[in-house]
Amino acid sequence: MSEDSESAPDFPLCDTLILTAVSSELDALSQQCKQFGISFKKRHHPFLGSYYDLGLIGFENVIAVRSRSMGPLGYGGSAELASRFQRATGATSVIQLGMAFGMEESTQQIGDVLVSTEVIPYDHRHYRDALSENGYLVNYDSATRMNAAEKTVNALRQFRIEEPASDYNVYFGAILSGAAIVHSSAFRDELVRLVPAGNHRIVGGEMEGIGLLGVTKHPIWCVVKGISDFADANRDRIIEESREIACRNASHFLLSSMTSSNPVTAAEHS
Amino acid sequence: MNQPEPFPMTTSANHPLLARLVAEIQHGQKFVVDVRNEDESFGLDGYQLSIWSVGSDKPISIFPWDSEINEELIDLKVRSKDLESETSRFAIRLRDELAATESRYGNGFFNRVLVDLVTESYLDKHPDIKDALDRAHSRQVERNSVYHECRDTIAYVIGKRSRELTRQLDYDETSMRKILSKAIARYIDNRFSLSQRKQMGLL
Repeated sequence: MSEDSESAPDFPLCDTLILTAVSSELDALSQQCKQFGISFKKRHHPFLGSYYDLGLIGFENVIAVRSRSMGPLGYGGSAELASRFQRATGATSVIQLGMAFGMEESTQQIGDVLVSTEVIPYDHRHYRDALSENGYLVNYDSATRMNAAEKTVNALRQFRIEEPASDYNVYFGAILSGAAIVHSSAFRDELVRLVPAGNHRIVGGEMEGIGLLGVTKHPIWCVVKGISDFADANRDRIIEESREIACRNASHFLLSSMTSSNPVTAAEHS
Repeated sequence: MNQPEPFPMTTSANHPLLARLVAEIQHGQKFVVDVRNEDESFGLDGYQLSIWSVGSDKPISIFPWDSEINEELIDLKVRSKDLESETSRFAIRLRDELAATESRYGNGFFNRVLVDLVTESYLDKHPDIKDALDRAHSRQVERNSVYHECRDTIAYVIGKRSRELTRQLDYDETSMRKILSKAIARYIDNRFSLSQRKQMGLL
């Protein structure tokens, strides 16, 4: 990844904050920025640490940042990082970008893009002792679905309607999110079966979106991720190749939408 | 046998809480609302709305912010307990009512037009707003027909709040300006995380 490293301006402000979790997600964003002719300048701020200045994309002043670790937890995890950078930059939109697992191998494909209309924080669950095989029962009733930012979902949906052609599909829906690394189709299916039902079908799952719920109560966030696997035993066999496709397509979809963002069209079609 | 009406036309009188207020208001009872947040660091999130009979030291109901009930309370001419509470109430109302415009025109574009509108209006003269805007960020955009459409829509939403304050809640012009300008300042401060950025030493 080619990066210019510059000292930060005094006030690193932005409209949209893009969060990535692992190097492949950041690398894919960097490469797609290059394809779209968008700058990708690495900067350092004494308080905030390192971040990437993407400049003005459409009408959005954009900053990107990468977590110190995968998932929502810990210092530099998505929860802490999103809160720190959103407050510091005054971002009015936060997007978690990268890779996720899909739900239905029969209809979805590796590289298809998921956009969260809702996040289901499945870690909110209750275990009770019971005369079951495991000695306990788990209840997911508290995993209330949380709405994503309507403005972001609408903009991405509008773009998809106007520009349907791509070599990947885009699925809008609920995304399961939690700190667990899920490489088990049995657990994936348990989640789908037991989390509270809602109006939006579950299209995938990932680890960082749950961290965004703490940024603001009024949702300004959205998860945009490519499918890298289906959280099953096959995952380890394909991940080396599939993560690149997933991250590339998610970045491509997001940047395509942002570069074409045109309030004239948006206003005419809404 | 009469069939129940599947889609009844409802009024405040059909809502369990509002029905009680309507009945008591008709008998001369006055009510106020209090819009408070236990933790100011939550910005405009986490507010609670409580309804009080005037003269009582206990609220008749406390619940998380509910924009629909708040709107009904405004229609019922129920004011806030004090100016601070009214300011919070209208700051949240601005956020809720401007969400559709934000969604229609897009996040970044909306930010530019909002700051332009407020900067170039009389509101900029108000110290609270001037202070907030001096610390907000903006970048010029082309002032084409869409820009003006977006700007006029924001102005309409703000103007509607001024009418609510004067016509429904019976504030005089001076009080309305005071409440609304503080509410706009609070909304802008919250939107761009200005106070938080200041506390972090970034402003």
